[in-house]
Amino acid sequence: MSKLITNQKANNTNGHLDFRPALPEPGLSLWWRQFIAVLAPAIQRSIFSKRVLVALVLILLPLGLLTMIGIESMNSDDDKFVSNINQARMTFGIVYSTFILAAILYIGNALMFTSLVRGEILERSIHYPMLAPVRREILILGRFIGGLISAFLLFGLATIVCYLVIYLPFGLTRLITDLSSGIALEQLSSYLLMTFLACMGYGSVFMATGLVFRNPLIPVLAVAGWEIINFLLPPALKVISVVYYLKNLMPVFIEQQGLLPLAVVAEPLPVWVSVFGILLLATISISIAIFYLRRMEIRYVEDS
Amino acid sequence: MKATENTTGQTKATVELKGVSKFYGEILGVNGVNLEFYPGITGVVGPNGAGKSTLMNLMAGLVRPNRGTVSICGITPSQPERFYRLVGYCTQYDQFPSGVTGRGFIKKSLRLHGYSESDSDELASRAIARVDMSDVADDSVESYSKGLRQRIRLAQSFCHNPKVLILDEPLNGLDPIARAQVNALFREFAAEGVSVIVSSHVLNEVDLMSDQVVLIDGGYLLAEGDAAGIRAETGEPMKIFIRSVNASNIAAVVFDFEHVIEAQLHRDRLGLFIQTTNADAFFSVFNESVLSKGWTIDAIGPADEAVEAVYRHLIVQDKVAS
Repeated sequence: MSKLITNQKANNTNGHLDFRPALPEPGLSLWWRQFIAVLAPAIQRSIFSKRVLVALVLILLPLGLLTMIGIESMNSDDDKFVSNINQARMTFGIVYSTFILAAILYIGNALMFTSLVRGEILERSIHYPMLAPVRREILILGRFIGGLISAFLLFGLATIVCYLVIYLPFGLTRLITDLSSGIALEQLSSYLLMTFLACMGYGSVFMATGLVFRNPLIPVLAVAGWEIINFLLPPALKVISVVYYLKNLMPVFIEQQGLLPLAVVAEPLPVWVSVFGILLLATISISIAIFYLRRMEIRYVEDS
Repeated sequence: MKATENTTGQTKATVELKGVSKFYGEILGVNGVNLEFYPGITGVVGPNGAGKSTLMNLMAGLVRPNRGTVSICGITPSQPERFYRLVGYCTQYDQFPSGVTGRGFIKKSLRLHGYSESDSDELASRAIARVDMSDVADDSVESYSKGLRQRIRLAQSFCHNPKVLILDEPLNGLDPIARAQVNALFREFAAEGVSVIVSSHVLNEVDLMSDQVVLIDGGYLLAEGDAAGIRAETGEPMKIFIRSVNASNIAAVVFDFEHVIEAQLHRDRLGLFIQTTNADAFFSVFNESVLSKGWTIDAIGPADEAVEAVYRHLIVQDKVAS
């Protein structure tokens, strides 16, 4: 007791009452500060979560597959899986569109984004940001951008590594030639753009899902089903899908009907429509998330 | 019941609840609550399930009323940017964001308010010093005892110098010394003009620390005001202890007072227990008697815990009867 009284006296002597720094009035300056205060922990939370470990394991699957294809093509003289660089690029295109895009990015983003707000609800710490004088839009946007940065760092890097692996049978000289001629950079940029847009599209949907549903697993599975059957859907329904817009950005043409006999082929979209479509989807999803956060009541079980 | 009179001479309420009701489906949280809070310490008392946490959450804007309005200094929770500059809330949820230190926890909160790095540092250090945790502030929260966690959450709730401090069961998990320290801290806040609203079922402490008391049970407001005022309104007798060499004489005289229902002399004949239905009237007549008869009074005061007596009268007896 005496210790506290001593401290309190010391505080009073130092004038703790005098230290009341003024906060900026609501406006861009304050919002930026608050955005950064939300963003930094969101990145940390996304990158250093256990769920990222699962995403990393998922990434190893296409990487392992492409490495095996590369090694196999290096060693055998006859019946090479890929005998030239065009075949290798096509192989990567197929692996990217059917495996990385449709499965890895989908599951990875579901893991990372559904926990951004839902995770705080489950660990019962969501009331701390909700009790701060901050616009709910900033709480959502900061978390979303934080998650997007983390997801793109992870999956973008994975895309680059996977793409470089296809050059295994052709050597470093060929890679440098393709990079300097621009063809490799052009293709890689397209894949990175697709990866970024996938993170944005799926991420926004899953973030909203984490707020709207108590158990996001069911809607995640439902959306997965929709995305999987996308190739069977008529063009009018294909537009309500992330994968439809993204596949338009593929730098190599993959004959869908050759791969999937029942596929319904739609007219390809201009790039700007694809980008705009994803941006629109993200805007709608984020708006829904903000709406739900504004309406959210914090009531854990033991409330009385 | 009429809203509390304010004890500090200020007429403007900081917290206002007007006709507030909250239902969770068909379950009643609170119903038809009209309350005003002023600077000073107000204790919200009631048994488990009474609706204390619902009331606190409503005031803090964590839940929305189905009916009625809640405002702090005229601002409603629908304006979070302004509302939460005025409010600090220490919930009873003993959870933290994962992987934070005590200082980091408070700094994060201040950064989210929009304070600069240096201001956040300074405010965090001051808040930590006020709960006497400077030595352990840089340890992980996960390593803290329950008492330390309670104190760091307390520091987080007031680190931004709010006008209204809402504290849901803030004494839980604290040892007696820490409780005394925290009580002293609340007194400091009250002296600084902060409205400190404390919920608790630790009645003695509420009585000791609070300027005003709000009694709640079953989602309904039972009484509010200072404990003596509630007692007077409810008719609950007050027990007074007097220590005097003239105890026998006093007993003979006060027993004739209209509002004295019992006068019991202690075995040593130097102490006297009196029960009165009107404490103010008793003291008024008793003081005149002391002066006129020249009695020597060594000690005088309430013989029971004021809030506890009211609590027993309004809540426990009601439950026994039902």
